[in-house]
Amino acid sequence: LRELDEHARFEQAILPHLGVAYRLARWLTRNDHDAEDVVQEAYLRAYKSFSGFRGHDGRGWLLAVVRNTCYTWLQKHRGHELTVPFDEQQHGTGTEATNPERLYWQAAAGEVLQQALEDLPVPFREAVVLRELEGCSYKEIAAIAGIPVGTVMSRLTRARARLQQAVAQRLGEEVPDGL
Amino acid sequence: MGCEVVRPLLHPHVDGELVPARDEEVRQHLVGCPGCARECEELRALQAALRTSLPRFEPPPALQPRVEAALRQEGAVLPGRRRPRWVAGATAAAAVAAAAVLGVGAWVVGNPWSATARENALAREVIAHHNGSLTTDRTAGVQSSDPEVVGKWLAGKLPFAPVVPRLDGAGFGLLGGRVESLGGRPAATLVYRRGQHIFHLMARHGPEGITPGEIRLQEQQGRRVAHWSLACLDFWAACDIHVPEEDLIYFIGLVRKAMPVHSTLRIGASAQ
Repeated sequence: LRELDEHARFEQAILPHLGVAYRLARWLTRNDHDAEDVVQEAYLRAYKSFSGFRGHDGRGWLLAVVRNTCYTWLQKHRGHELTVPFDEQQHGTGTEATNPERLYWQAAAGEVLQQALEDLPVPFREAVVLRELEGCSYKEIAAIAGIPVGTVMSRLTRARARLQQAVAQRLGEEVPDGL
Repeated sequence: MGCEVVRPLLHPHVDGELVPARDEEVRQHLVGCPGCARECEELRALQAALRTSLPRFEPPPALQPRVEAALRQEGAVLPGRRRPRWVAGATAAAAVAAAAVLGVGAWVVGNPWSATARENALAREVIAHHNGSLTTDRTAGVQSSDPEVVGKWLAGKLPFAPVVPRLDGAGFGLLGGRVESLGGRPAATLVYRRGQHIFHLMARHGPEGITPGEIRLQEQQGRRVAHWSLACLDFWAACDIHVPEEDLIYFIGLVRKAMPVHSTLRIGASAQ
């Protein structure tokens, strides 16, 4: 009976989060098929280690497993992607797009942003995806990625500056020099 | 505080991650500093663009059975075929129960796969407005906890007479209202707060693609969105995905109860 309880608990806490698990894996692997493989592997890992889960946030717990599975997978298949440095030369903290209108961003549309997001190093990409697309708090991101909250903040700050700059560049706007 | 102190705080400010006292200090600074204020606007524009223009990846239909099969091989006992979707299964039942308790008399569709492209597009708009409520300091509109004040402000700005539900008895405090465009039509937009969560309610004229008594729920971009209709009005609600689905249903039930149908029917009338 106890084991059945565990199954029921797994079913309720973990199974419903397939969508968000897939999205995180998709953004981190940048490929549909790889994302599916990673999600399946992550669910198996989650199942095997589920007895260690005692909290209430099944979504966050599963996302941490998915994230770690992604890293393991990337290490094995595309090791170079995990060693891409965040090129400070390309971004300045003072970078500001020159047109403050929302139209500007709408014109930039999805393609440029998607490319810019996919070009970010994995740790920065995951912070943006979790925050902007999945609505996670700094604390939740810190728990999922196993990093301090301050690191979440600095990664988001740097990643966003890069995204802004990428869009500005692509649109041929003049980008002021960084500070 | 000076710019050098404020600038590192702009991201957590926009993200709603500062403690209230510190957040207030940043707000004060922004009032008098166009440079920092502009940087905030840029950030919000980026956030809005990320949330609205990036593709929303969905797992292919074959992935769930594939994962289930793999789990069964490991000895997992899973629900089998009685639930078409995990998402619809666990929460829809609870939602229906909550609706029944409230006497809402509605049935709930919790399956996001059934939503049409049009419905998805509208839901994205609602989410964008909801995110705007979370992240902007914008004062466009009226900020008041008094439903009468907000109702008076909205009246005359819309092609229908809006009703602003008083829900503070149930813990939903009104923050204010404004008029937004939804699917090209003006919509009464009301913002409520319960605990740390913001509930966003939009009403516009002319129900669209939904039968009376039906509530459609979907999850997108870390938000829950609900769609229903009442009389000649089309209603949308949005909240954070961390709000339990039952709570959103509860909110909807309260809103539906608070709507005196006859008064929302006056098309083109002003509530004055």
